[in-house]
Amino acid sequence: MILAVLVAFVATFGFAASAIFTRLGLQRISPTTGVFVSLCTGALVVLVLVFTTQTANVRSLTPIAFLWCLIFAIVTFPLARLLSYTAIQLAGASRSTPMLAVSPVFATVIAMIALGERPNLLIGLGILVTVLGMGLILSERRSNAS
Amino acid sequence: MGYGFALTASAFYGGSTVIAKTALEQSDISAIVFTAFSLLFGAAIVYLIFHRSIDFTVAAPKRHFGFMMAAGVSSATAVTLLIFAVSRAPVSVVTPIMSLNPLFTLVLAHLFLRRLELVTPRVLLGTTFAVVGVVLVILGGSQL
Repeated sequence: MILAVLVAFVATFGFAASAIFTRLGLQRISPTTGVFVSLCTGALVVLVLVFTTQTANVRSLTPIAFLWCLIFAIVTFPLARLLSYTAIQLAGASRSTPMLAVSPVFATVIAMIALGERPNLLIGLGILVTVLGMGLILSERRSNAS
Repeated sequence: MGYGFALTASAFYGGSTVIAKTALEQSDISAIVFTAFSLLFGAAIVYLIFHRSIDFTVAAPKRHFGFMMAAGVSSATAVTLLIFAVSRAPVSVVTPIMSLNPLFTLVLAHLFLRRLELVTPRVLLGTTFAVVGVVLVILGGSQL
């Protein structure tokens, strides 16, 4: 359990480092080129890991599983990742990352609509506090602009 | 405009989370294999759609391409470690830790992006509120 928590912290650091590298790289590279380069290198790392440790799982994959991968890839990479890289290029890593991190709030709202899940008090409070945080970051941009 | 892109991206990430959850429940595929093939398909799709604007001949220094490769490797490593963490601890423990990502980013931005970005007290406070809100949503979701 402690090892898992430590690993989760390292993973979180990895996502943060990715945002910083993205900000540095996109100073001179377009977001589309950046997305393609990061996807290719990321895919290479994970595929090597998968083919060395999960060969049996890969062999037993069904066409439906590949279809799910394709649907996920269409929504996540040409849309979400490209938009997030463009946001990092335009607004910076420190300001866009909090906006990107509210995806669990969107996931909750989408799950409520698509899967019929009902929110409880904590979720309602969480959404309210998140919106307040977003407002603070946006108001800073406005005060800077004025 | 950047904030608009970030919020739209966040909405798509939210949608993709629902897709991933449904995919892992309905098909017999492990999370890491799902991630690997999604990344592969993602690279192919991005190339098919945007191949005209993907430019390796620009006069950008090679180190900028190196930064993007480092971004891809660190992101892929983070996903792999996340899957390991989730396999060894409850999701209700791991996901709140993951939502601290913006605070980690602020610290790293303060250390390494001083020339490019200024981390103000208001951004720090707004980010803290956002993180607390997301943690509350996650904790609330785990009670459903």
